[in-house]
Amino acid sequence: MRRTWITLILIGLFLLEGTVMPWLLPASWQSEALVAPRFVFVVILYVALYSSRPLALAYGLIFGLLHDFVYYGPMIGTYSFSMGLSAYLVGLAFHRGQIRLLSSLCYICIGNFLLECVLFGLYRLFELNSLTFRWALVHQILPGMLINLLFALAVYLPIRKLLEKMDAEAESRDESFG
Amino acid sequence: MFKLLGYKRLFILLIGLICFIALMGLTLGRWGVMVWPANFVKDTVSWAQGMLYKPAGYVSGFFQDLRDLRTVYEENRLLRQTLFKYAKDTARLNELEAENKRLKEALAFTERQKQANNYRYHIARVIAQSPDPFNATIVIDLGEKDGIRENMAVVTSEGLLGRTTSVAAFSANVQLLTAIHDTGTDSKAIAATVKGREDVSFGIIESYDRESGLLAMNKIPQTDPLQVGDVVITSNLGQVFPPGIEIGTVVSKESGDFGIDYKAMVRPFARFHHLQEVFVVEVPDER
Repeated sequence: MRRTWITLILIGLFLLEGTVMPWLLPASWQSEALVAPRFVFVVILYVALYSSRPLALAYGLIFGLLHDFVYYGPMIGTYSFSMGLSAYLVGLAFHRGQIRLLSSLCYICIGNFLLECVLFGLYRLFELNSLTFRWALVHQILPGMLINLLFALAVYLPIRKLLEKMDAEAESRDESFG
Repeated sequence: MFKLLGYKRLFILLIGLICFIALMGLTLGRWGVMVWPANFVKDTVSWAQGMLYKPAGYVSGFFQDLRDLRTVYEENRLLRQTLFKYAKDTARLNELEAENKRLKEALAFTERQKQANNYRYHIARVIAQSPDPFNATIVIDLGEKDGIRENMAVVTSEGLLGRTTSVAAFSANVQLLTAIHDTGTDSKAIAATVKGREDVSFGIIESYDRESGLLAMNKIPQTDPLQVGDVVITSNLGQVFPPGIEIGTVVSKESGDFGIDYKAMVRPFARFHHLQEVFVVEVPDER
């Protein structure tokens, strides 16, 4: 049941990313600097940190694929791959019992940075971008990370509560079955 | 790394890596009409996005209007002047059009030749904009069912915006001019010329420099009288974009890479963010 909620939240955020966010962000952040809102990915990272890693991997792959289909740019599979991989690696490296607010924000930063680097690398691999990494870092990656960090801070409490309830439900179900 | 992942997981990870790289390589720059599951998902999501994008634009536009209230008087004055000029131009245009028609009749143009410059402009609403900075794509609400095909030019009232790439049944993706580059196979260079000197000037717009926001127009012959301030339009020598669409103004001209030709930087007229309505250009004569 709670899993359905998370899925619905992710779908909602996915829709917001491409429609409302371009209007909320100032014009200069979309021409001189290119700020990428990655709200879906932030929530997936929370799933990886507080809930289960395979679930985060599945969400990353599915929502990445959705992104690839809807904004079919140069090729299909970039987002599916990079979101799945980054979410899984973050879960693998940092998933522990209790994570406090500050460290979780730090991990989300790391996850975001990882995603941006994988994307940059993929587009570079297929010769689709000729930007230097330094320029991309200053104009795209760092401003984007700041916006995503603010979003992560804003949704920290509700998402964490939801995920904890979800896990508790899953555990009680396991006990009743076992 | 082996200890952290385990052999089995590492194996799966590597297989996944290979599969995804293969998938990306295979789909790179090949759009056509999408397979039906992707098509269905895209149309469904696009429909939902359409419900959100327009109201968001209106709300944002309202606040923009409040901010612009001070400049309205000045703008109004300018618009009046433009309107007067427009009325004058229209009168002249009617006259020239009649003359053009008469001359075409006299020279016995075929029906196809007469229709060649009679473009149809399909108005399309933008329903989403890719949040990915490396992927300059917008989604519009017209698709295959509305007669949209791959590689149609897309313009705004300001100038050339891009071309359609992947087309689903009720929505289509538009690759913006900012995605043009000269290394990959997913973008198409634009044959361009200068307004008023269509038979003299020629160059190819091959890349967009994101750091300065300018388009690079290469391969301009040395004899070309191109100057800073000229208006660059699409040429009839290109096979993708119909001729006569305004692209931008020349801001600088310098020696090309090998010193045997010139390279000009062009500032595009169109704005690539906060888009509401765009026009898809349909050329009646399908080449």
